[in-house]
Amino acid sequence: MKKIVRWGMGAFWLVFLVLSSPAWAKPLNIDRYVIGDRKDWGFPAPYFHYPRGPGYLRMSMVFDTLIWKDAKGFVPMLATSWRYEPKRLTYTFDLNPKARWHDGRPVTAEDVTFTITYMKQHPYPWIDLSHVAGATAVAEHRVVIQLTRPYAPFLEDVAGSMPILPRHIWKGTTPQAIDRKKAGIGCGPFILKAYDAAQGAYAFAANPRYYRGTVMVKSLRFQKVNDPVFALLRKDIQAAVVPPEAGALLRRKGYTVVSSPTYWVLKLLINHRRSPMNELRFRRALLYAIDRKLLVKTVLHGFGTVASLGLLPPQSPWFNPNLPKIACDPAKARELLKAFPRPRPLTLLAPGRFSRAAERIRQDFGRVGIRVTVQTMEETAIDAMIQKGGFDLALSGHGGLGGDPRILNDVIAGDFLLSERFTEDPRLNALLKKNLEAMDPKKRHKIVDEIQLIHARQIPAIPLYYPMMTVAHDGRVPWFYTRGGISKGIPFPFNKDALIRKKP
Amino acid sequence: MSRKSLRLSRGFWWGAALAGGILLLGLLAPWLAPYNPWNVTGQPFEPPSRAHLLGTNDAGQDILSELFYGGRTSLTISLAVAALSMTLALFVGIAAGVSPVADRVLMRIIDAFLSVPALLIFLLVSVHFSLNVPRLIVLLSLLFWPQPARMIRSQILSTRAEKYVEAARGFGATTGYLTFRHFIPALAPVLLAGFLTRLRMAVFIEAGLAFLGVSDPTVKSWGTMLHFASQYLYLGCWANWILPVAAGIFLTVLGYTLIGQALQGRSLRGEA
Amino acid sequence: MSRTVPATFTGRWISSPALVRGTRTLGGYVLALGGILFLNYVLLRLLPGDIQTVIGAEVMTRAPAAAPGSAGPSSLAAFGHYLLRILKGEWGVSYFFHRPVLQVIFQFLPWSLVLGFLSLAAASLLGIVLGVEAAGKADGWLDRLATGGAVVFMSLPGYLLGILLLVLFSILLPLFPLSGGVRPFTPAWSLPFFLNALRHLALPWLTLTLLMFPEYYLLTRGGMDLSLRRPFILTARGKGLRERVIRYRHAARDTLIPVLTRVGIQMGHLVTGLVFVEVVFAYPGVGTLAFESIQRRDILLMDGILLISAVWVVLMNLAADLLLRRLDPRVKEAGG
Repeated sequence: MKKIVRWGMGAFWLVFLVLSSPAWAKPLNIDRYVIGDRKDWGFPAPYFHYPRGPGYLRMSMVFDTLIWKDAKGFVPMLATSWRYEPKRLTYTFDLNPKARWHDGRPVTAEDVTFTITYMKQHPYPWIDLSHVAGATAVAEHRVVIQLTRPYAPFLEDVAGSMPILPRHIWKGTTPQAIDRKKAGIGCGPFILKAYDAAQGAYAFAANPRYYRGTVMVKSLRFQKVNDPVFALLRKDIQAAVVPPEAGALLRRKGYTVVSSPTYWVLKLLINHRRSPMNELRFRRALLYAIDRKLLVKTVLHGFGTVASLGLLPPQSPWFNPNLPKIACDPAKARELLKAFPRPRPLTLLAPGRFSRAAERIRQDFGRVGIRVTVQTMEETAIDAMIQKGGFDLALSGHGGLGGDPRILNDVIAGDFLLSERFTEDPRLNALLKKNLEAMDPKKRHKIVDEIQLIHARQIPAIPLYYPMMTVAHDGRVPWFYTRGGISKGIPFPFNKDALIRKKP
Repeated sequence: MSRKSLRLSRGFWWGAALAGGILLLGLLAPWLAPYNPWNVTGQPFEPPSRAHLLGTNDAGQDILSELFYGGRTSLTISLAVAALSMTLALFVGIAAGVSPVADRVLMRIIDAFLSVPALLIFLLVSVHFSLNVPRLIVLLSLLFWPQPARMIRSQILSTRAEKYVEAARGFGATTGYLTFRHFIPALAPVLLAGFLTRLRMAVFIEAGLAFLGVSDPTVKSWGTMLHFASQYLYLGCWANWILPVAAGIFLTVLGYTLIGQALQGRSLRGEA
Repeated sequence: MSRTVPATFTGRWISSPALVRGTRTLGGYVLALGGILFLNYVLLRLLPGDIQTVIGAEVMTRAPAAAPGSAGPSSLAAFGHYLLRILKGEWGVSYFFHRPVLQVIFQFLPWSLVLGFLSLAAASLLGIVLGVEAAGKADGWLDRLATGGAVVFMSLPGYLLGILLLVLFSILLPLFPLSGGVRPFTPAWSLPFFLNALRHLALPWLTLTLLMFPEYYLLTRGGMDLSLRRPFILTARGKGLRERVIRYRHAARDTLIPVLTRVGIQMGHLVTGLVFVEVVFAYPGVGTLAFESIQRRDILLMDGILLISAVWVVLMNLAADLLLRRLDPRVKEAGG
């Protein structure tokens, strides 16, 4: 029954996509398209790119995964269909027989099994295969992946994120020893032509034999620029993530400006293992003291929203709308603080980029009688201190909130480096465990709702705000927002499927 | 000749007036600034108006008030760094100039210091802690002492070779006596020039580090103002935000430079 | 003292005591280099947080137990091991670029060196010529202009001048590119490549030149003022030599030494000293590379950058020393 529902949903999405895809409605043919960025993100191949969203994104132009996501959800990529067998704990994928590597060889089930073995042997930071036992190629284009335990995020975290490696190139070599020229061979819509680390520039050419359709941009480039706004205005580049404050100007100049959620949250981490933050009353006082609305107004200049106390943003399909909404209330904070006659002065660690927020929070806390010293430091140094638990309060953010709710496990009690490390609540621990194993979406929704509620009540950290992402482009490419973000939640709109006219 | 000396001393007075005037503005910041620069007193990015003569910054704080308070920080840091590093240099320079054994060791250390990529080392060290004002002063002083130390040493060596010093030594003058009676007075021009150069360097590097985002952005200084302003160049706010800060830095350092030039010109003529 | 030095080694300009002194200073340099290496080694390994922290701070990734390019332990024995590795030429692999450290550095080094050399050459030439011409002509228009310019540009920090030039000539008047070293993927060593690289070079070059010339101008002018009053100049004037010959051939000789010393010092700091200007123009230099590598905790790459820049500083000092000795007999005599 569940299977049928899933299939039905898949078919519905497919039909919907074909009908609604703007790319389908308006065929384009672009010779050259340059996307600007402030940084260089490393060589665009698995293991080589910098392990952050923009690095993965560049790699994804060249390498395809088993399945992919578009604005509505999962769509086929290398796999034309997939199904889960709960009794055997297996996923079966049927591969597209037309798929070819850039050097002309066919993509087969062997490549998929090889990739899983290889990535278990040589860990690739982006993919966690601890719940995968292995894979077997049962036919030339059919592969069965065996799980060790039920793992709900599998489709997004593995099938939708793991770039398939060409076996004939990576076999018998290590990521350290592989020939770089060959490491850039994938089966994706773009062929890597050149990468210039010094200029931070990437050149991709359309793959003329792409198995899923026609690639509509002949030459796609990523280019490092020091100011994307001016680079756009000078027409050096055609698209870029820009500061939201520049949106109005760019719109006036005729650019298409789109804002979207980042699925990223800035949190005030509270060291709940230290006194007095170990007491819920004190943490509640902190929450009442902060004017998060003012924070959004003065720090984000209104380009963002106050965060939900359950961490997941309203745009997430897993968002719990029935959480307590707590507004700033200094009187209430002072009331709660009566139990702490002379609270010791606290230190607030903040990376330089959050210094404006830190200033505001210091003032808010000062208003209710909590003395705070702001210490700004280099971000990685702060991360190391957070990891060791050597802090009172710290400003720290993370993304990934749009995708699978597994994220809650990682960031609340899991082994994520900047995790809140909140393991005191046994009920929460049990729910988090169930969150990974519940394969039925309905049951899982209940669990995830409950987790958010406990987080909002226990306040192991105060979610402050969700900033917005603004992208400006010349309007030629129908960029869209990927449901839950590309791969595990990369919030950029530069999804390669916007550049492909799919075969009907 | 007389015309030239007149011109130089005019430069000196101009420089002194500039440096002194800006110092005064910094000292009087709490009375001159229309607002508390840490308070949100307007909307973000307000253009100049009667209420905010230079408009407001990205946090809705008054830019003019920031300018006064920022100048105060920048001047404090530069004066403290110049004083501290010259004191260090003086001790090391005298030790090296007086004792040949110390000379060998200290000169090696100075050589090593001068050949490290100082800025990178500074960046490496600064990762360890929050770069607030006192720490910045100490670190910059540690960076700035070797060059003047070397100059002081060579000045002492050349004073030592003077006839009157040799004569004094002939009469049995002790090293201590020579140091205070002859070496230090002869150092005055070197010390002054070194002090002025370090003032100038400190203003630059303080603003530079803040611009790179290395030092503490919650401190109000000209550098941190530039750091935030340069992120919003596209808003066209450089005219009321970057230019005033640039003018502040420029006029301050211009003052130091003019004084330095005038003094150097005088000592040159004295030698000739 | 010099007896043991074979006569063949005593060239026309290196007298044997100088050679002995040279080897002694060389010893000093090697010692200084060792000290710097140790300092670098320790500082880099004491940094809070490492590659694991950097990868782990991204919620979508998991840091492998042993990340490639990890720096390894820090102890005296480890430092010895490190020195051995460096001497054997095994500088390791950059964690960010996944390439041998030296390859990465040599991809960025030419950009820094070209920018630095061209600016330094222009700045010192401009400074010297202006200084020689303006000296002794107090209140002339050239003197006023050059001194005024020098004082103005000495009072502006590099990044500020850079931002102002960028706003003026790239944004308000879009004459020059905004950032980068060259239009990407222009075939290297072709004419368009050089032309385009020059266009990208123009503003950073101008910034650095304006920034550095006052020092040379003031040095030269100060020296010229003194030497123009020397008796031999009066003699030359008496002989009726042309003013230009007197100034450039005779008087300027004396002032060359402090100027060259200064060039030597500044050459040494070219590799990593241009960070501010590189950042403003997003110019692909070693300074920016180093700055970003610290943030990315790319320790092995930082090892390499610091080593290369230290060796470069020492080489430049050595070169300046040797050149000075050739130019000025007094330095030779004063040896020891």
